[in-house]
Amino acid sequence: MPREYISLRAVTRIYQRAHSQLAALRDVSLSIGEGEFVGVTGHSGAGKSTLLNLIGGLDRPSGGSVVVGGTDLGALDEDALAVYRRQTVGFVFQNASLVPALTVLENVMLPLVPLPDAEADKLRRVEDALAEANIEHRASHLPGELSGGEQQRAAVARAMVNDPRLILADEPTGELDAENAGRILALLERLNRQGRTVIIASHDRRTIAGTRRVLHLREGTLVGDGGRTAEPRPEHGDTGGTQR
Amino acid sequence: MGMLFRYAWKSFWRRRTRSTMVVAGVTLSVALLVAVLTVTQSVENAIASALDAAGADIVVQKRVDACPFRLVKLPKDLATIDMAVVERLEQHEGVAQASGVLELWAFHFADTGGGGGLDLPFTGDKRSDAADDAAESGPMAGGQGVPMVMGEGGEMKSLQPTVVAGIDPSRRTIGPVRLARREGGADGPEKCCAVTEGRYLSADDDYHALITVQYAQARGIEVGDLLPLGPHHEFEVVGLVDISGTARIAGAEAFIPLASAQEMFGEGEVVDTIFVSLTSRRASAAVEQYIRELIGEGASITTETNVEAGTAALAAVTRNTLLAVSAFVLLFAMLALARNAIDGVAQRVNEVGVMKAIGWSNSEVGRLFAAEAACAALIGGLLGSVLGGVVGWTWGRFADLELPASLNYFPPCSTTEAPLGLPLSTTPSPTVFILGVAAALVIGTVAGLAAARRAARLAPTEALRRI
Repeated sequence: MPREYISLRAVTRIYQRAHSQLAALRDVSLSIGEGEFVGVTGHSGAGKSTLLNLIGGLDRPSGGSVVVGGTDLGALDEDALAVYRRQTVGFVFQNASLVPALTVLENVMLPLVPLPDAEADKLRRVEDALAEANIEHRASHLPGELSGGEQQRAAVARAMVNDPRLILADEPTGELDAENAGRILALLERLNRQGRTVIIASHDRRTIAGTRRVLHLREGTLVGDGGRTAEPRPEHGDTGGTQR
Repeated sequence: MGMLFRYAWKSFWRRRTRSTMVVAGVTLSVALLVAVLTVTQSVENAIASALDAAGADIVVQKRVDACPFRLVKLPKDLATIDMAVVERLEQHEGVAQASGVLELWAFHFADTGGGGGLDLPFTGDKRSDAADDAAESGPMAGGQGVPMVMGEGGEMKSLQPTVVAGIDPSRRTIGPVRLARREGGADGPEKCCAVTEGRYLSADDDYHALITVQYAQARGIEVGDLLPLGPHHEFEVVGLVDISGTARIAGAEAFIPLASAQEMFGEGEVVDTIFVSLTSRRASAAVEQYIRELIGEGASITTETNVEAGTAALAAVTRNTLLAVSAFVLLFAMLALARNAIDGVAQRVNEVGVMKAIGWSNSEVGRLFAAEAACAALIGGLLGSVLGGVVGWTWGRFADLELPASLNYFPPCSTTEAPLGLPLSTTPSPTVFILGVAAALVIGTVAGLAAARRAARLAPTEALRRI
């Protein structure tokens, strides 16, 4: 059993609406070891993205605690959370979400821009990440000139350029064909083999097929945690949060 | 920080359509401001130069109804002021110098042949012009115009006017053709900036005259010639002075010692124009009040401010209106820029979300948007300043601006024209240029801060939800 890296204790996330509340996560407790390759599955609205946002420090729980690498994220202010994201987390989103006005190289450089490091050092790290994602030949192109698969590879390069210990991928293959999806998953697997903790959230079981542990969410509740064989049988009503 | 600004620049530069619109708005508003400032400043400088040319801050005259015609008379409606007034004024607190000038119209008989065989250009329509002017000056015996008078033998004689200013030769830093600069600048007394040939008047001179280059050329006069002024006097021309290039208050065609002018005029120790320089501009109001007490009814006080207001081409009200319009346009540009920057944040909300997700702090995201707005403002400010400068320069090239004629009456039949033209500086002012860019940067900063605030307040999860 690897050393515990991520710990969620009784985490709840409730979104306030005008006349109601939406529970995106309810009383979720789990532990993820360092270097694990974890899949999070569940239907749309099950709370997958919310879980990743909480672990990634983009959101704060309404209740409970999220501890990553020994740091209680609830104790961090906004600036400290930004530093945590910059130093610890690499995000990959469903669409590549590259800045259209910047080249691939500049997009991959983005996480490094606020850092005080030498520019040459930053450039070397960007080139390494581009090479790792096999997209260095497109470095000077604008995102609009790239295919969907190339854009997503650039996004993975951006996620790894800071050498984060944790990679969070939210539906990373959602807009890709099978061939490109395979490339992205292989890339994420390689990052995991390098020792990084990788968590992939997807409603598509093929996407998480390569992970070694699967968390299953339904209506904001963790209903399964284990290997794929332990995955619970899908049930009806697994389509959204609970209206209170 | 440098890299952040580079990214801001790239982001600005590669969004050509949006950036062009923003820059165009800033450019036009700044251009309007700079053009107005350039024009008003050039007018103010030109007006100030007219007073500076005389080394004075205040010009004092007294106006009455037009006096009757005489062969040596005061111009138009000017009245005499006793020399004692000049002396008392000079003793007053806040007054650095006061110098009296007696400006006269001196008529001599054109067909007498006096003045060393002068060629008197007094024919044709000029005759009727002179008659009109004489009629303005006052009726003559028989109600006839002045230019023609009947000689003893019954023949008609024509009259030639010369605008004469009696000046104090010892006052070299103040007066219509002062010799030296007030603050002892580069031009010392020995390096007169105006005398082109011969010499300036000295304290020993009596029937000696300094005449303008333009008058000398028109009349064919050279240094050493005798110049008839009035019916009974001739003056030796000792020097030529160039008074072109700027408007002159109480400018004349011939400058003679004040005592000689007073003798010609025959009303004792009087002047009709007093040039006053102040120790400090702050003393202006008090000195003006004192002058009104001294002169009494009819006092006419000219300062930079009221000359400007009286200059028809750009009255103060016009200037203030233009400046108000410029300020309004600039404010509108700022609001439009702010709105555009905020819209930019709304359209790039996913970009903001990604930036925050990859570790940019709220302030860093805010700075990026602020820097982008600053890029637009800086470029717009530079372009607007150049455009406004060109507009102002073009206006200056074609504007025809003159001092009010009351500050320098020349008879219509005079040999030369009154030096009333105000030469406008066509050189763009660096100060105005910098002001234009600064104004653009201010509105850009405000707009950028509005966008930065909006971007900083955007929750990353809210932004990412829209991806």
